[in-house]
Amino acid sequence: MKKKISLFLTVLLSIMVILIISCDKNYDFFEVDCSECYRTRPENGELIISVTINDENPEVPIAIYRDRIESGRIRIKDTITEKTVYIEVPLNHYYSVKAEYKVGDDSVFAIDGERIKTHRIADQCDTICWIIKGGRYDLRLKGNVP
Amino acid sequence: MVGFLFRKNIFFLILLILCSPVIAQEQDSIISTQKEISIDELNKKLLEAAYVGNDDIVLTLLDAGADPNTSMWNGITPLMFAADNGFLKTAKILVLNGADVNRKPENQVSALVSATFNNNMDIAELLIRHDADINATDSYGVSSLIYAAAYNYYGLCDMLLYYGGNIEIQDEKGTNAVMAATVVGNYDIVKLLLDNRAQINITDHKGNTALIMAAQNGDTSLINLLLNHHAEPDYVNKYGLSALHVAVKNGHLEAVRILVNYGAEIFPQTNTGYTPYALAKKSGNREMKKYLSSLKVKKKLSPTIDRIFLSPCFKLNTGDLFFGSEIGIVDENLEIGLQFGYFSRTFPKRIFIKSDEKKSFQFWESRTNLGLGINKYLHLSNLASGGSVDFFALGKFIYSYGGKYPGSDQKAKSVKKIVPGFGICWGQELVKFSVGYEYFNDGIEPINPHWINLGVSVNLNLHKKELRDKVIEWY
Repeated sequence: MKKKISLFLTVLLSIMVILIISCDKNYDFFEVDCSECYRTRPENGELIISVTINDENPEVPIAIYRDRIESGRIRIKDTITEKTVYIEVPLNHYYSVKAEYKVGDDSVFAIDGERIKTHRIADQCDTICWIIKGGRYDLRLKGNVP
Repeated sequence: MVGFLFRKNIFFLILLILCSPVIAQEQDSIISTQKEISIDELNKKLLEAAYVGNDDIVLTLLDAGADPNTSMWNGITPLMFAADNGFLKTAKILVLNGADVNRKPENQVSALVSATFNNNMDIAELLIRHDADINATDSYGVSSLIYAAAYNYYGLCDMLLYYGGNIEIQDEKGTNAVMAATVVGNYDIVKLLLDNRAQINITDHKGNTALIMAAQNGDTSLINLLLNHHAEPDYVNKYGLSALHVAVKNGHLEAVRILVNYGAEIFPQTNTGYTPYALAKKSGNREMKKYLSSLKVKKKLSPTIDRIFLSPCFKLNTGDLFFGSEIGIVDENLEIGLQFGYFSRTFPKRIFIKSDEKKSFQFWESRTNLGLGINKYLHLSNLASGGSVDFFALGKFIYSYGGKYPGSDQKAKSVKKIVPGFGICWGQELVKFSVGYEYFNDGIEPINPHWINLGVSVNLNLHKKELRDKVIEWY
């Protein structure tokens, strides 16, 4: 009985540990590409914005907001014709991006948001360095747009 | 005829002539060097000679001053070697030269118990006649009579009883000779012991009687024998299991019939609420259930928690995937399970929110589902490997929620739904696999409402100890 209880608890604990680890955002836990690790703490980083470019939407207006779109704090407004664009912004802020599409007679606003931030790597490379975490915004239209 | 005898004698004579120098040489060498050999050496040689049953050397060494009670590092004496290996003459020489018949080594196996193990009846009798303690026990508390009963040594049992062996000695777990013979199914020995007035309703430390043990094996001839000797059919062990419960649990229909015909109580509940009918249901034995139903036994079952399970699983449909875990309890009497589940969408999903006729928003949505459900199980069949296959139908209350959409202050819509489903699970006691179907439409956007669940559950059986069969550990 004791053996069974300990086996049960072991499985339970293992699952808990896996869940906790999977939620842990500490990059030291994962392997870091040291060639992409900045020796000095970067001030700016790039937002990588992916959009859908098609016949109906050869150019897509986008707006980049500091914070969430409801804040109204637009930082950049642009119209893009490439599927992926890179836009430099100051790090350690939350940005939201809105893209406007035409689908038939309707307008569809694709929205994504994330904090782009630096993360200090202490142990994995030769010296202390920083990586940039976040900053990928996927605004591509879902296949079955209503 | 005369010629044959002559030739035979000549043969033995030649053999004696040929062998005598060897024997004489060996004895002479010991004697000639005895002045130089220490007592320790003599004792060591005595142990060696007793081990191989070399009577002449044993005698010579004893004459030369070897100690008949010398022992190995673990306390084994020459007499124990002789008793263990069945060397009657060697044992006799040692006993007559002062070997202690009651000496015990580290493992407490005396020469008599050792002789009993190996069914060396003559040696056992020799030892008893020289005042060996007939009731001596080993480190398990097992006496010679219990061993003889367990190993089906009828003659030895008879001899030990004749010399007054205590029939009621119980080992450290409370097993006596009748129980030992019953568990192993030695009918003749049980009968012999009962004829020698062994008490029949004695229990071991878990409260099991010999009848309960016979019922465990479904040994109908032993059950009849014990009942005819007035074994109490309704005696229950410390978990509340009677012989009937045990026979039902182990699927011995004929044994159940005998007990019922003898008047065994058919309604009792074990300490945790199992009736015989519940045990038949638990074991999935249809024949048994049918028979007990025909007796109009109590089918109303009280709730018990039989096992706790933890089941990591995936829920998926054509456009979505959730991973999480369910934890729950199962009542095998009622074949009902209660469970709580926590599931998160593995990857955020793009969803559309209609703002007005002409305008809609596309967000990335993360979502968590909390579920509280009830499962009803239906036993389908037993697996050859010992597990089972069960069908289950489920009803769940699901509370589905999400946080703010990335980039917006809007929150994902919360949904409360009752979700029906069904599935099958199969596997062993500890690990079970399940495949299920659930109908769940969160109503947020048109989605495929048909979900497949794939899970593995780890089960902790809470009543395993209660339902464990009697086992003789030293057997």
